Amino acid sequence: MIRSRNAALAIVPAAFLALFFVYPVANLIWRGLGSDLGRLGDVMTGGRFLRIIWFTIWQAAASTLLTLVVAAPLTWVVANRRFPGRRLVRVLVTVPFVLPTVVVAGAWIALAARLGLDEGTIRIRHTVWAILLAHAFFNVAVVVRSVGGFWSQLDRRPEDAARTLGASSWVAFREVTLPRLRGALLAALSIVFLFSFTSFAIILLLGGPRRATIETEIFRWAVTRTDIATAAALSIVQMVAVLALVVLNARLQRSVGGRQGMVRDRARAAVGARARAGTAGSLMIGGAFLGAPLVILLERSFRVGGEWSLENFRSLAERVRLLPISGLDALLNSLSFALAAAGIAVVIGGLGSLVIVHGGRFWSRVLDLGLLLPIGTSAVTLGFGVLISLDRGMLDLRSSWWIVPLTQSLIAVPFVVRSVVPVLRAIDPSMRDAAATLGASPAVVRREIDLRIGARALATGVGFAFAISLGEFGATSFVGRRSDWLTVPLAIERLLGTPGEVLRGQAMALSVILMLVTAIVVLIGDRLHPDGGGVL
Amino acid sequence: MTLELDQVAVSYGTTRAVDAVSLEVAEGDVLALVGPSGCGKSSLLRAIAGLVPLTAGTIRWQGADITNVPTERRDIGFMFQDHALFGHRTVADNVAFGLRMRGIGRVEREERVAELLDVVGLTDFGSRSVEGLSGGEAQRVALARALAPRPRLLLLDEPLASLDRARRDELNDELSRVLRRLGQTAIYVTHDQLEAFAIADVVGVMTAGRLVRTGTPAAVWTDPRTDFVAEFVGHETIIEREGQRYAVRADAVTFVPVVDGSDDDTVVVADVVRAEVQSCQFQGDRHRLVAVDASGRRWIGWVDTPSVSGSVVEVRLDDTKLALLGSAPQERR
Repeated sequence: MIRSRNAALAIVPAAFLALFFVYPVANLIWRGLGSDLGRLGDVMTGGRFLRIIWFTIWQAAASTLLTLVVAAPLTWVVANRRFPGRRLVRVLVTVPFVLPTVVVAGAWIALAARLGLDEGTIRIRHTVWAILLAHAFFNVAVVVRSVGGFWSQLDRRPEDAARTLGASSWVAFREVTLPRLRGALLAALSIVFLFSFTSFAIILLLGGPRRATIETEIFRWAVTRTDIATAAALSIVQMVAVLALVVLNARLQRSVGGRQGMVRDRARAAVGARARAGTAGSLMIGGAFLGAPLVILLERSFRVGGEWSLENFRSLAERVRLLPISGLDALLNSLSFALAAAGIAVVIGGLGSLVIVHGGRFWSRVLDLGLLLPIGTSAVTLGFGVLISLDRGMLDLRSSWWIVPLTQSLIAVPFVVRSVVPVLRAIDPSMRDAAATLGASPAVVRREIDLRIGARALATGVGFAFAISLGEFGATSFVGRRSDWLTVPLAIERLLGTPGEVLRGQAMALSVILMLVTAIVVLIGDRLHPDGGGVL
Repeated sequence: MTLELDQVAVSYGTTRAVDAVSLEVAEGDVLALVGPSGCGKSSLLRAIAGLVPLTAGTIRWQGADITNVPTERRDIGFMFQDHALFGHRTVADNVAFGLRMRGIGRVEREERVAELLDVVGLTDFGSRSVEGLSGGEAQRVALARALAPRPRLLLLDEPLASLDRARRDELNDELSRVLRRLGQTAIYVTHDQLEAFAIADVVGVMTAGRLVRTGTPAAVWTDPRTDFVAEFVGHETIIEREGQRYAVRADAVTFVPVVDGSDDDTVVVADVVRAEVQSCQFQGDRHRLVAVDASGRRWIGWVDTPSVSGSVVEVRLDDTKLALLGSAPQERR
């Protein structure tokens, strides 16, 4: 009875996964391998492709390194120092991470323009530096929140012991703290590497026309050249690389270490002028790096021809010639797609989480792995797979409005699961036992205990799902190609990719709107989450 | 004096953990700092180690001001509650750490590590990981690690708190023996007054960030001087006599059983109190008897033969074993 009900619960998320993830990806691999094996060979051996693969790898490695350097002061201060607004800092560093990547690109374009670095000898526009800086900006939160969170719970005493044994603070850090942080640090850096490896909008917008990674190259062959075989072959290369990275990350996660030697919070207030200067300095370095692009973006959105003006926002109601619809209509499109995607994500993610935590072994395993897989698949691969797969008979969804939110929710569901499952797992079983001894049936226990506690985590996940789908670019640029479906991220990309002050002004205004909506939704979700940790 | 603290204060934000503490420790002495949890004793110890900064006061070592000397150059050893072993290293690596920091060569290091592991009774443990050690073993490793560089001052922060009773007594004896043999100057922090009495030359009692009484264990026990210290060392009952207040030590009390049927209404002699036995606990070689008199006052003492709860005893006091607290009435608690 219980088993069959669990299977029934599992069927909806499982079917969703099979139809919108497994089938498209399998089909993509089939098309890449099956139709013309020679294409994969060309991709693997052709000089141009190898150069692209090499660039993808080294820019990701350099981005990871730069992220580490930039995140270091903030990570240290958040973990070790108690100061007013510490929690707020942890929340604020999340903002760049949740911003749509086109907005991140827009902010760095705005900053480069403001600092006069668009051209000239010191130029960052259309250089690899713009890509690295934007990736670091985007990924700082990953390091600060995961490594900083772990570090803040590391017992100080082993370091103190090292100090009493004659180690300077640097030696104590190197010999005692760093080995203990290693697992968490490598896990975070492998995620940063993965994000930089599969980055799409930032490469497209900041790298300039000549720089390409595997991700942008898939798009180019599929959309611009309509050479499906080559694009599919590239997708296979991408999938293999991403799979390897995901496996690596899972291993590193496991090596992070147990709860032994952990405390609630190791941070202490700074005593003395030097210590206070250290706290303030670290906060300022981090704040300047993360704040400057956003502040400049905000400023630019209110400037027209060197004057303060609301014109950029006002003009969104009218269609510019470059776009098929007005900015305002694009915003309405984005909001309705995001609402639909969030709705789908609640159902799939909520049911999936319940089955993962309470279901039988088989379905629990299947969904646990299956619902997290899309996180490790590049958005471009997903969008491309869906586009070339759901095109026949009953499954011909290409012209259906729902294909956009369905694809977006595929990317959002893992975040709902990541938000809800740990919270459900952390519920003390004795609480359920207590409810049962007080006369609650299993169904009532689920409603009174699991749902009560899980609801807030679900709300966090749904907020995140909404924000992700609002800013989704990679997959939507495949499945949302109908001109009247134009979303804000796609509009921003087009506006930024074309010279002209009016267009850029509109792009800045749309970016600001997107920035505010996503930031607010995610920050509220973060506060709602029972762990205070949210999905990061 | 070897170690001198002068008006030392430690604050965390607005909370004052240590407040104007002055004390001295002579070379080779073991000072035990005792007090209830949260009294500031651990903060004081960490301040002496340089692990938390002072907000006021000075610390001197043989006359030289070391207040601003960083921890690693104070030449101390520190034993932490829960050991704080380096989890990713072997037992020998843990013990050798301080030697390595002092630039001592491999050969000499290995000799010293072996010597220390012998001292703490863990001769063959060198290559073991510290992860699988029992509480007692981990404690011995922590001691060996702290002693290996021959620190001029050893600081121990509740080193036995995480052990069970039997282990605690055993290790307490052993620790005491090792410290005496090495002539090690040490400060020992604990909340357990019996542990402190067992190991210390000098006891310092702390409460609310202040050091309220120092002296030999015997002096502190026989003459606590304040209500707080009296109660802390176990003298619960306080009486007034001729305008003075006294703490009643357990050894000042004798209980004489009152034979049933004797006349309760005979004239009560001054200073003779009758009380009803509330509990009588077996403690091995003797019993701890608690009795309550008509005014509700509790009397605590030791007896050789147990009494039944509810029976009546006569309480007799040995005036020479009362501890003077000061003149009555006091405004203090």
